[in-house]
Amino acid sequence: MNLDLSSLKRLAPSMRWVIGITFAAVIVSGLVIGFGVRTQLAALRAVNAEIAERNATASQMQSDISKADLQKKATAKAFADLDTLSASGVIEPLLGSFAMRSKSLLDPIAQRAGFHIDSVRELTPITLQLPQPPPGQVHYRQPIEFTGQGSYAQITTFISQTENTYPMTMLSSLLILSQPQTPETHRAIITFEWPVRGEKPKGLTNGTKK
Amino acid sequence: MVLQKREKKVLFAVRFRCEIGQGMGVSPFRHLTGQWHVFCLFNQTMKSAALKIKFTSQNKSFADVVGIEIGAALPQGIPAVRVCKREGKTELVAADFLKLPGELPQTPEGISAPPAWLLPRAFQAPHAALTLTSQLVFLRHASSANEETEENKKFPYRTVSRVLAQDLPPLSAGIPDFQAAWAAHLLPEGRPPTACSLQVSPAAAINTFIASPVFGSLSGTAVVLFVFPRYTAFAAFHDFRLVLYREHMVGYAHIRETVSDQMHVDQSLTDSILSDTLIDPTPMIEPLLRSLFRQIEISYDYLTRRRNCQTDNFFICGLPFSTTYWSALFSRMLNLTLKTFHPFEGLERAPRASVCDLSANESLLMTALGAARAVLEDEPT
Amino acid sequence: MKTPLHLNLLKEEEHFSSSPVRLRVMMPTAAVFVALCSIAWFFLLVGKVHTQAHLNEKLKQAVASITPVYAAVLDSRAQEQEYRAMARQLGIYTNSRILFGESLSLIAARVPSCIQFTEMRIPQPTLADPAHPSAAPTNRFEQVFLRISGRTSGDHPSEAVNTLLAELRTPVFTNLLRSVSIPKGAFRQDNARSASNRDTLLFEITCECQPRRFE
Repeated sequence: MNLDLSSLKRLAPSMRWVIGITFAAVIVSGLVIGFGVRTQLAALRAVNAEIAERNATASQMQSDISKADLQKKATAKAFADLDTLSASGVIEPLLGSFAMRSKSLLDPIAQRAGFHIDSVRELTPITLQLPQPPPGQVHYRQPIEFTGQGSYAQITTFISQTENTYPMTMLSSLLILSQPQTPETHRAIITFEWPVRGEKPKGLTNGTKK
Repeated sequence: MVLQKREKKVLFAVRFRCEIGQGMGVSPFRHLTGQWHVFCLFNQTMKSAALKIKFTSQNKSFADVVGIEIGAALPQGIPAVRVCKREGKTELVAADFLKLPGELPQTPEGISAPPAWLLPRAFQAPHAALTLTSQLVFLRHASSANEETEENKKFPYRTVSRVLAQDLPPLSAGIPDFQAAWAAHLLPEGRPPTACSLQVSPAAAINTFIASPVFGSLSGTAVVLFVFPRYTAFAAFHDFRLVLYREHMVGYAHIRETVSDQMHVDQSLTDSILSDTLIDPTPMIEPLLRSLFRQIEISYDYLTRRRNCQTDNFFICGLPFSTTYWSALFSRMLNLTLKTFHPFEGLERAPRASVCDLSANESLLMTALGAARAVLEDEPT
Repeated sequence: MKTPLHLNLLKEEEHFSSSPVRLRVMMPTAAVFVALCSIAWFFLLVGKVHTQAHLNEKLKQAVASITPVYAAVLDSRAQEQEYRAMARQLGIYTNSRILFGESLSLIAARVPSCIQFTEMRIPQPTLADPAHPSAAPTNRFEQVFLRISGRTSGDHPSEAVNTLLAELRTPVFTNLLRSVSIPKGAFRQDNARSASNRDTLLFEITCECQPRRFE
C-alpha cells in the first residue's frame, strides 16, 4: 500500500474525514476483536467447560449421595459376608504364633482321632492368588507342620476330621513313614494350611487402598 | 483619467484579445465598465491564483435534468426548468419560478454557508444543471486555452476553455471560485437533484438555440442575439459551429430604465408599453438600440470579412417584451430581418407537466432551459 | 453536428450523489457500526464471563459443601470393594481346596495283603519368596502328587501291585486321583536286604491328584 500523504492532502476535507473515520473505526474494531473479544471468548469457553465439568461432578456426587443409605447397607453386607467367611477358617495368631493357634484348634481333634502330636511349627507362608481388582489387604496361605505318630487309621481320621471341622483347612503336604520297630505306628508329618490375613499396607485405612 | 503603465498594458491586451477597433470603450470586462482600472491596481498587489482544477467530465448521458438559474434576482423567484429525454424526444416536465432561500454572494468576505435547497417534487430530477448569473462571471474568446485571466488577480477563478475549431480562438468561461463553491453546495447529496453541471448564463442560453429544431434546419451562418438585462450576447454560428461570441453592454434593463425614466412609469407598465403598439417608444429607445446595433454591425462586419460568413439569419431571444421595435430598427439600420427565436419551441410537454405561463415568462426561463439542455444533449466523453 | 456548448465548471468533488445510500457515508457508517458492535460485543462478553465466573464459584462452593458427605460415600464404597475383594480371595482359596482324608482312609481297605507301604508322601507346594510374601503367583494351578512307596512279596507280587493300581484307578478315587502309574524303574527288586528278602519287590506309585485351582 502506497501511503502518499500528498495525495491525501489533495482530497477534500470531508473525504479525509471519511477515510480517517473509516480507518480509525477499522483499527478500533480490529483491536477490540483481536485483543478483547477473542480473549473473552476464550475465557468464556474455559469457564463454561469448567461449569460443565463441575455440573457433571456435582450431579454425580448428588446421585451417589442419594444412594448413601444403599451404599452403607452394601458395605455392611460385604463386611458381614467377609466376616462370615473369615470366621469359618481364617486364623489369627495366638500370641503372635500361628503354630500355637493351629495346635490349639487341632489338639482336640488329634486326641479324638488318637493321633499323637509331637511338635508343631510354622512353615514359610505361601502367597495366595489375587482376584481382580486385588484387595488392599491380602490373605496368604500359612502352612503349619504337625509332627506326630499314630496308626494309618488314626492319621487319616485326624486328617478327615480336621478337613470336616475347619472348611478352610487343607492338607498341604503329608509324609507317613513306616517304622520297622513299630509296624502299627507310623511317623507322620502332616502339614495343614490355613488362610491368614496379611498386614495392612501403609496408607490403607478400613480396608481402603490409596 | 491618467493611466498607469501597467494599466495601459492591460488595456492593450484586452484590445488585442477582443480584436475590436479603437476608442469603442468596449471591454469584455462588462462588469468593469468604469471600474476596470481597479482590477489593474489589484493586479499589482494580488497574487494570481489560477486554479488547477479538475472539473467533472461527463462519463454518462443524463436523461432527466433540471436547469436552475442562480443569481438572476427575479422577483418571481428562481427560474427552474426540468426536461427529460424519452424515446429520443426531449420533453418539458416542469418550468416555473421557485421560492428558494439564499442569495448568490458577490464578495468572498463573510460568506455564509449556502442553504440546503429542497426542490418541489415536480423539479426533483436526479440531476441539476446550475447556471450562474453574475457580474463576476465571464464568457469570451481567449488567446490560448490556458491563458492567465485578469480576474484571477482579484480572487481565485475557475475557468474552462473549449477549442471550437483549430482556426478559432478557444472560448473561455470563468466563475469566481467562492461563487461556484457556494452554488455547488446548494443541492446537498443524498436526495435528488444533485448538481451535475455548473455553467455561466450566456453559455447556457446559447444551448437553447443549439438544441432547438431551428438550429438544425439552418444551413450556413446564423447569428443569435441573446438579450440579457445588462448586456446582449452576439453568437454567430457557421456550419453548426460557434464561430464568434461577443458581448455588448446594452441590455433590456437599460431599455426599461430609459422608458421608465422618460415616461415616469414603473417596470410592469414599461414592459406593456414596449410590448404594445399604443405608444411608440421608438424615440426613447432608439439611441440605445442604435448604439447596440452599431456594435452588432461591427461584429457582423468582422464576421463577414474575417470569416467569410455572410448570412441573413438573424435571431433574437430573451426579451421579456415584444421585439417589434427591435426588429424594426434592426431592419432599418442593417437592412436585415431580425426573427424572434422562442427557446421552448419544439419542446413537447410531458404528461402531467407542471409548467407556468410560458408566453409571459419564456425569456426569463431561457437560461435555465439552456443549462438543462446542455447536459441533456451532451454526449459522454 | 449539434454539439452543445457545455462548459462545465463543477469540480469532481462537488458532484454529489443523490442516492441516500452513498459509499462515502455507508463506509464510515458501517465501519463505525462495526466498531460499536464489536465494543458492545466485548462488554457483553465481559458481563457473560463475569456471570459465568460467579456461577462457577457458586458451583464450586456447592461441590465443596457436599464433598465431605461424598467422601464418606466414596469411603464406604471403597470399603465395600475391599471387603468383596478380600472375600473373593478367600473364595479363590476355598475353591482350591482338595479333600484327602476320606480317600486316604479308603486306600487302606484296598491294599492287598501282600503289599506293605513304606512311605506315603504328598510333597509340599512351591514355597513363596519370603522377601515378598504379598506378591501373588500368576500360576492358578498347583499340581499335587501322592507318592506311595512300598514293597511286596509272595507268589504273585506284580499282580498284587497291579491290583493295587487297579484299585487306585477305580471311581472311588477319581475325585482325588487323576492318574496312577508306576514310573519307569520304580518297580524293582529289593537289593538292599539279605538273600532271604531277594524275593521282595519294591515299588513306587505316583498318583497325580486333581490340581488345586485357585480361581
